[in-house]
Amino acid sequence: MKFCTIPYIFCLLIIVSCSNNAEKNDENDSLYGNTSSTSGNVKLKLPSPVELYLFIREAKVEFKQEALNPTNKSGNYITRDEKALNFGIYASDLAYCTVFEKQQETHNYFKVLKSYAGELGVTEGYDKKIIARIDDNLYNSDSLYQITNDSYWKVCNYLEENGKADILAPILFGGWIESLYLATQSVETFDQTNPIVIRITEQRYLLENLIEYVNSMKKNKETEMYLSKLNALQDIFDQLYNNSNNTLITKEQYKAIVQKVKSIRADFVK
Amino acid sequence: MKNILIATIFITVISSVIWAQKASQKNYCSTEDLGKQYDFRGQSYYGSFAPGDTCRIKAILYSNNNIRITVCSDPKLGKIPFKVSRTIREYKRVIEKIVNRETEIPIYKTDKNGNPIAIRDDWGRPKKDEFGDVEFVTLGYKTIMKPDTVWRTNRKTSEEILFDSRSNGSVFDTKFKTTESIEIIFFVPPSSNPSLKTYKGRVGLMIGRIFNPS
Repeated sequence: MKFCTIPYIFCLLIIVSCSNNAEKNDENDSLYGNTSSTSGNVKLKLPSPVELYLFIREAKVEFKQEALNPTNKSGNYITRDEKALNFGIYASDLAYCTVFEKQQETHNYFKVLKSYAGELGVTEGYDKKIIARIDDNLYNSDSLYQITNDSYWKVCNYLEENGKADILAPILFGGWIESLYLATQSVETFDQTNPIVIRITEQRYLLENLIEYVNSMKKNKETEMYLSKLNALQDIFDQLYNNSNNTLITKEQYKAIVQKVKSIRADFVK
Repeated sequence: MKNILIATIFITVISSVIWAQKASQKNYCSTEDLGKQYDFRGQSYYGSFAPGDTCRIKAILYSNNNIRITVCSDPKLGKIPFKVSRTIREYKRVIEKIVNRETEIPIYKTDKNGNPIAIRDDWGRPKKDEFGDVEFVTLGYKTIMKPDTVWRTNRKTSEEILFDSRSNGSVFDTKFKTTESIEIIFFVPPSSNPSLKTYKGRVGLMIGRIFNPS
């Protein structure tokens, strides 16, 4: 009698396994377009914040601890959306700390991210083993950089592959706005030939991809909120296209971008 | 005995289902082979595709970095051709309307000549804000009506093909002078083998970079 139940359990397992798969594919299809279809299936990518931070570091700019979102505020974010946005912001801050070789800050930010990852159900890249690796390599900047870069990449990849755009979009948005904010905080005085200012103007391309990505998602209260903020920022970036050939950005335009970025970020970090 | 046999059959079936799923998830892209010095984390893309599928990826590549783009895949899918193109944007901002808007402007304290008085720092120098502008002593704010131009941006994009693996080889190495928005399209060739018509294999579009500050 005992053996009789085994086949039924296996049958049940097969059914569960197949239905899970179907659900996953449906999710994937609705969020990213039809993975297995032909045209219209566009994947939108953004460079990770690390690339911007490497550039800022090379410009010999000081580390701006006071510009980061402090780890002690991590308990302030309650909803899933707030957590995902601030996961992106903290992941971006972590990348900034590793690029500037700040070991203790790296450890602190990673701990916050590990706890957020658990709460968001995305432990990929942020498990206990990684924390141990971080501790083991606390004074090895190169390893810390590789580990944290790997973790961010793994979590984004995992969310993308599993069609979890509802979490990935706020993470990307949070991470990107934080990197743009830190870039603006790294500009001492405005000069349109300053390499960081030039890189800030180039963020309009990333913004376009981000808007297209959020636009491709199922509309809800959160995506409408992201779009309204992103579109408002795009309106300001669009003004750069009015400039003459030898003007990349005017001081007024730069000011408007800085203020908008600051206010969007302030809404998220509260 | 009969039950043991049934259970064994079920275990075998389940194992093969799981194995098949695992096999299709296998990663065929070894970053060691593709170029150890390149960092492929960031904008690479992995997915499962069947013969006949096409995929478009839009990515942003910062200036001055050494870039490597290639595709690696499940050998059962055959050679996957890909094409890289640069997005050329044309923007035209046109005036949609001009509206009068309430705007708050500061009222500055002025000297006897009517010039605004600057706030001084501890050293007596005019205080500047984060953008390098002098800050003035503000007495309050007043609301005025100011004409405000509402713009509309007409966007038009076109493409310039930079690379086609069918004629340029399987790896695209480049370095852009300015930051570029690019689009990569790959397609899985249709298969004449009936057993592969519904087969889904892994494809990785690898976008690698070597960071160069300037």
